Amino acid sequence: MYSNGGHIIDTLKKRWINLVLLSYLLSSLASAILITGLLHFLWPVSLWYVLLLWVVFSLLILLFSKAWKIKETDIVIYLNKTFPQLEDSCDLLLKSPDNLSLLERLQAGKTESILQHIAPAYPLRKRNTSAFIFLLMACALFSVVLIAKPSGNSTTIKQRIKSGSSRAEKILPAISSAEITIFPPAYTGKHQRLQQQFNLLVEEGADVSWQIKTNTYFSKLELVLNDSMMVNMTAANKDHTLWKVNKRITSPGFYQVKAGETASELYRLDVIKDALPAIAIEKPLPYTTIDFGMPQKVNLLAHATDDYGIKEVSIYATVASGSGEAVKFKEQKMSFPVSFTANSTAYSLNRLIDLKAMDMQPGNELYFYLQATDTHNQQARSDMYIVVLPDTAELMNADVVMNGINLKPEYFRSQRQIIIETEQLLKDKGAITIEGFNKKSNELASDQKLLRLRYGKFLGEESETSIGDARFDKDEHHSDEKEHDAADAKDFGNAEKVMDAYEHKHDNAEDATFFDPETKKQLKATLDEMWKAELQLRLYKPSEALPFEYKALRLLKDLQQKTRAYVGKTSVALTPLKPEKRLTGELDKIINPATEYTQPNVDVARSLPYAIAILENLKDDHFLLTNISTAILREAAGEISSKAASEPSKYLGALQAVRRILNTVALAGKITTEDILVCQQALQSMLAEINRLPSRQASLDGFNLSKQYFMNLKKAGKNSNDQ
Amino acid sequence: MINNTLIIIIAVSLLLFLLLKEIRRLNKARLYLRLLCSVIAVASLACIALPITMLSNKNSIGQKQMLLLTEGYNKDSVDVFQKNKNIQVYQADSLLTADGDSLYVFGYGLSKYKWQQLKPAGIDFHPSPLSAGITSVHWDQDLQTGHVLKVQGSFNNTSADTVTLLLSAYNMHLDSVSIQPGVKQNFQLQAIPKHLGQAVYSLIAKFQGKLIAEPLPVNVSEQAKLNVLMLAASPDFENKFLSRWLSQNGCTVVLRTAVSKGKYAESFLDTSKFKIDHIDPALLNRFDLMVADASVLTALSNSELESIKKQVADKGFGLVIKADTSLIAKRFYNESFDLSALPNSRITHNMLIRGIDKPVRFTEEQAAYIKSKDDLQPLVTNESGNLFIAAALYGSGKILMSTLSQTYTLALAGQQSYYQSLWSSVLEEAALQKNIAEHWSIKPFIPRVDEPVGLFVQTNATIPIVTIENSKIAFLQNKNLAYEWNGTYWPRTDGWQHLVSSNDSLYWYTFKETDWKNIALQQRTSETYAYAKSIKDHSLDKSETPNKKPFPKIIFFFTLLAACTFLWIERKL
Repeated sequence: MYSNGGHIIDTLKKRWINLVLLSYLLSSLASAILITGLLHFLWPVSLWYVLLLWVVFSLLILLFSKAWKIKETDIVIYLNKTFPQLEDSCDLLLKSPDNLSLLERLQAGKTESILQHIAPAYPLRKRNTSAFIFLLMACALFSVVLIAKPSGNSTTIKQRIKSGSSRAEKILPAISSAEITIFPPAYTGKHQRLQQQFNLLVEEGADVSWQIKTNTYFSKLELVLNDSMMVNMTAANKDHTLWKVNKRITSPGFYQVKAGETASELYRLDVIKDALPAIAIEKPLPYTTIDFGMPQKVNLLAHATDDYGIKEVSIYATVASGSGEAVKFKEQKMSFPVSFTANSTAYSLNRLIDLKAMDMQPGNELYFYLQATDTHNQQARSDMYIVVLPDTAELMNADVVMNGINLKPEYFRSQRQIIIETEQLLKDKGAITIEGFNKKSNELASDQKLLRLRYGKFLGEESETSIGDARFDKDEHHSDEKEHDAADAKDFGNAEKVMDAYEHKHDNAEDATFFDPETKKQLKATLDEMWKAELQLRLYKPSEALPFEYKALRLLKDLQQKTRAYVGKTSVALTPLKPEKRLTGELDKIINPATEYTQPNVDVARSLPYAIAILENLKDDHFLLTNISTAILREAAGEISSKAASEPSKYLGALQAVRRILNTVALAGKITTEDILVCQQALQSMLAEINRLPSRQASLDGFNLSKQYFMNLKKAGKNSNDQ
Repeated sequence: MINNTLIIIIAVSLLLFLLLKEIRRLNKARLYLRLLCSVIAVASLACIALPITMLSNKNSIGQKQMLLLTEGYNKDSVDVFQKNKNIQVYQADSLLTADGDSLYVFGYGLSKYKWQQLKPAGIDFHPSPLSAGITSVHWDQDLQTGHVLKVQGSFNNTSADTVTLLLSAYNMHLDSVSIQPGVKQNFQLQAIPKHLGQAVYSLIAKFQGKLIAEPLPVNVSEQAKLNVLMLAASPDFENKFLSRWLSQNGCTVVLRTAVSKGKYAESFLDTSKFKIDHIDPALLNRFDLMVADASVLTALSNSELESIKKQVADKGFGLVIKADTSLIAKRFYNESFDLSALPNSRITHNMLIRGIDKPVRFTEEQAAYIKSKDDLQPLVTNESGNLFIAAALYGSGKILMSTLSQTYTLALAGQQSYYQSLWSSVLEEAALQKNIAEHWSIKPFIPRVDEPVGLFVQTNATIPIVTIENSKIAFLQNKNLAYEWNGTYWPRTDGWQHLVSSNDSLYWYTFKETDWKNIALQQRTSETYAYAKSIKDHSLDKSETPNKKPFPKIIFFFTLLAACTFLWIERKL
């Protein structure tokens, strides 16, 4: 379509577009790098944001600039403008040669030949170079940021770590090297480890072996434990330069290495105590009741964890049977269907406990707890959990009727009656016809319903078929029919009576309920069970109704139990008192009982608060310690030392500091504020919280203003009285 | 005076004569003008004779004007002020005296004593706005063991970040409080110091990128322990808990519990046995206060009651009475208290106890309360204003009545600190006050190095003999209060200063110049204002009499001459 010249222009156009795109990509990359670098410098932003920003910027620039829209005509205009020798004729090249006139064709040919000879300098080359420089600068800035930022960050972190942890250890100059091997005890399941530092952190009961090389001959090398116990090291070679000792570490403390007469600084000896295993029982609940008809099984789900490993977890179950003084206990140990040979640190345990298999009868109770043993033979046990199988026979016991206060109506017995009849019906199932069985079941359902409605009334429930309503009771109370009729006849024309039957009454004193919310809640739960029982009976499934009936009965019984009140026996026969003789005994021979008690001396603890103030005064270089102050400081040092033996990681630094202070005081040197602060901190945390105590307020002795005022007031009062 | 009246009389008569002469003249031309001139002439003549003065114009004559730049001045506002004025500019340090000069002061100003050195005649103060941060602070620098160190103040947080203030002792944080951005807020930090003697706590905050760490010196002294006599009508938990708690904390307690008629169980805690059958002044002198059940007091003989009454009224002995039904009869110890029963016998209150910031829930059987009266000081009240423990003055001592009989339940319920605070405030209120020979106070609250510190002492000694760092301090007696003396000391070093007097010794802290800077600047500003006002008032006082200047007489002479000349020429025309 194009002439040869047209092709040249076409390729020019493509190249131009490519260059434009390139410049855009470069500048967007540069800005992306610049912005990411800035963000990274200010906040901890990931460097991968460069890519995301690049894409976003490029898309934005492209969208707005529309570089691909450059046309051939644009190229032509550009060429015409830049190269006068083309004589404004480039557009001819774009036209089809067939459409050109002769003159035009000649001109086109001339332009084409010129065009082939000139190498157009692209106008965008400058832009590209500037974009490239921009990119380079951004990269340079970015790298500067990268170098500057982490260095600042890492130093602060390092400083923090340094200030947080203890200072670097100081080793005696005579010691050239030390190797300390720690053999953790078997229960930890850890391997031995080697370290060069003297500060130790070992498991409780670990064996520690020190191997110290000295530069020169020493006759004796020993470890001083907690300032009190000496452990002599044995020379392993003839030159007395290699020394060894083994020791089992069971308690925390601190130690020093003593070579000849020079002792090292204090080293920490921290002990990691083995934690007790922990048991968490997820299922069942601490107190579980299994109602009649429910499966007599308990699903036990528990988790046991320990820091090093669990050796065993077992269930200790006790079945209690009988009541009163005839209670019998049967203990039993059960295990989980899990192998503990791996001694792992956490186990999830699951076991189904079959109560029937444990010979549990209704009325029996199962108490159980879990006991876990860890690899260090430490044992921990869970709380006691209780599973109860209620005794249905006990529920049927009529003892309850003896209750003096009977808040509930006598219909209570009906639930028992319904259960008895349901059981009888199930027994007779083979003997009677299906129709008879169904009919009986339905009748029982009606009884259940009546009972439910009666209780519903106590709750203030309303129902269109409320019990005791003559209008709806007819089918159930055939025998009463005549009485009702008679009553109707008497009341003929009694408007109130007639209205009564159709009125919907509230606030009836008879219906008012006197129960507290808790009782009401339980009554409601009872009604719920009755509903379910009725449903099963209506479906001619008395066997399935039985559990609900029993539960309803149990709940009702609970309700009754709650209303019971205990009244202790009061009829004790006492000898009658003679009031005239009371308090007339002769007491003159009786001496007053007197007790004397003195609090044990607590002077040692009292020196510590003063030690803080003495240290405070030591911050002043001119302060001179008195003998008493030095004694107090020494006492404080002793206290810190005993504290450091039990908690070396917390108090060892303070112990070293207080010793340095005492030494410098003795040599009249300069005490560092840091040492003083460390000691003060240790003393502050050692001292117990101080309680608010009463004290005497101070008042100025002698003749002050308020006293003068008081005396004058008194005098004035006297004078006025005299008058 | 007489001279002046005589002159005026002569002048008036002369004027009348002259006026008459002018009016009577035949030639009536320019009559009014002549009259006026006569008046002027005579008036001028009188004025020459009379001592006429005028008020001198302030600052205008004989005063040098200077511009003083103190800390924190704003350069721009100084430049604007100085434009078109030729005023000499001095920095605060370079100016040694400005006696009788008038000053324009920029910045935060100077402290009072610096002004007293400079003695300028006038101050025109252009203060810089006060910077943000801690704008005020107060804490008790002298405490007793077990007392709470409360640091209260206000903080102006102008930054956009929440500022956390920390109370720290030896770099251990004891308490903290947050100040919301852009808010000026009051704060309170508290802790019970554990040390005895001197220690410097600090108040730390990070504000506007800077770490503020201000010193809080605290001097803790051991408190005087109480000697308590307790008389119980029957063995009960309330007395048992109280006596045990007191004796565990070093107080001496003697508890006498009636067990039968005339028979008592006696407990001597932290003291040896002595006779306590009969209460007499000798026995009471051993104790600081007495805690007694009301029925015990009722059962006491008249002579015993009389000795208690005397001890309370004359010596300041404390009496704490636990109310019961025997209080119906009015005696000296219950005449200030009217008891009333609450409708319910068992009642749970929210008690407001002095010394505890929040209400404490507390259940009391046999609830009775004390009716509120003007002369009763409440210690424990409930939310409806009924008093449960109240104090009344009796002579120089105090009588406290308590209707609470089951405070030990607080201790049993794990609220030991409430129990302690309750009884501490009750016993402290009642106890006989400890006599001290000297009572010291230091002014200002934040004394600084190289600035004068006022030492005030109340003592009965003739002249206090006091040394600080082996230098003797001279004291001046107060004109009105004979027992008050004051002296001035210039501390040369910062830190703790030890003052030794004949009867006492005292530790006080001198702050560095940079400590509590914000508060110092604020104080300087207010002191500069105060000084500027004082010299202004002073100069006004002076101007009433001596600042009057004689009016220049030459003016009157010229008017007289002019008037006479007119009158003479007028006749010639």
